[in-house]
Amino acid sequence: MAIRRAETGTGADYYIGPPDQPLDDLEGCLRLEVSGTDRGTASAVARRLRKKIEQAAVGNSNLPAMAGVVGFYAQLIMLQLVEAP
Amino acid sequence: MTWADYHTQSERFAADAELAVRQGAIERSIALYRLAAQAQAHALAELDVTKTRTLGITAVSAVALWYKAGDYPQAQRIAHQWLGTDLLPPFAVEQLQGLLQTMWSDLVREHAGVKFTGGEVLVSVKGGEIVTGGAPLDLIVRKVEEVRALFYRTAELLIRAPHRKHGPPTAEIQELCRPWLFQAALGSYQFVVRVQQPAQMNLLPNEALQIEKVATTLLQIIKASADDPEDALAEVVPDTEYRATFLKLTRNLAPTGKGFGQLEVKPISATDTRPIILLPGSREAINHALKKQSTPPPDPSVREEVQLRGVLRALHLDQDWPEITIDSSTGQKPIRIYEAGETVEDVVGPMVNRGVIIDAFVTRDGRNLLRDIQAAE
Repeated sequence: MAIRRAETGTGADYYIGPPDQPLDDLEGCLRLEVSGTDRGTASAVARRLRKKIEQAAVGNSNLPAMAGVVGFYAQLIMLQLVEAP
Repeated sequence: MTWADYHTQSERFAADAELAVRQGAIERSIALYRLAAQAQAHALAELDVTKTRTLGITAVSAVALWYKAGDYPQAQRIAHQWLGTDLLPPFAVEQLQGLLQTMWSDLVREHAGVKFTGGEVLVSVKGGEIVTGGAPLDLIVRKVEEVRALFYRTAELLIRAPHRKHGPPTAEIQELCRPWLFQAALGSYQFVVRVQQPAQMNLLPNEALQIEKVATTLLQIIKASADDPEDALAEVVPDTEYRATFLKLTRNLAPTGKGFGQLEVKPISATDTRPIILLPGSREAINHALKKQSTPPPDPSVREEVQLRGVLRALHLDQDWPEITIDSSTGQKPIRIYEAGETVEDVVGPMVNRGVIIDAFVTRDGRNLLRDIQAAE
């Protein structure tokens, strides 16, 4: 479930969690990092997701996060958890 | 009221402010962002500071909202206040520093007395030999040249100039699109590029409109080259020659992982765009796309395909028999590579006297025909 949103310098991040997630802080929430593509097959969506995971894990990232790619042409949504190393 | 109450209030004001921006109601959006920022500041005050992650997210959110409300003094005050503690997680420190940098950049631009086109591009180089605020001069000079080449190419694309294979951009293009370099503080080694507004008397109205879009188009091109070089780039750059050139220029920007590990490009004044990160893996994806685009062996007498590594010593693209000489790994062995006529100068120019990787077809009579060339470092 989408729990909260918070501003960053580049827009807003959304925070998600299971339905029973407490709402009084963001300590256990996952930051949602999602994008979409209206082209490409399932392998292209998977490639895009790998890149997104790679980007989400670089540097001082706000983790844990959930990286996702919506493939409109492939009719596929791929999601993967990105945790701190 | 609790952190959660204030945060919920702030979310509502911020969502309404975004809606007002989309409707063009700028004054109303600023007032709503101010209310959202005030609520977020209250949320911050109510928070248990041992909740480190929530604290970091809330502090960044409060500063970002004051920034969007146009209240720089308040935004800077809160950012400095929290950066002065040891309570924030590293991601929040980095994001607050980035927001401060954005505000400083805005103020510098206001005081510069020079008019710039919309948008600016922040380039930051990280990892490897790079330290905070410092980097090998030759690496940075090369990156600046590569970024400048991308700006000129984007301007040429936008005004629909024929694809340039040799020589520098025309004087007209250099006058139309004059990139400026600003220093950017903090984290890694960074610089900011903006484009000066061309003198109006020298412009056709349509060209002026196109040049306004150089920075945003350039970011679209780099993003498409990095994320989806085969499909998305074709939408931004329909022309195949331009597309191949942009792919090669973007590949030049990307790290090999030896000298540095990451190059980040992002707008620093837009509010809805995330950074584009080029990693060593980006090179591989672009190489894959370029190989798919490149023509099959041009000569039926081609015997095999080889990859050569060495130092690019000479370049004569204007000659009918272009010559590229490399130092081979076995010593100073010059190797001539033929049919480099399609190679564009701003792609290979910065590679002279540097390590390169050359993909070539070898003919039955032993000649090397150029297929692709890229920087090896």
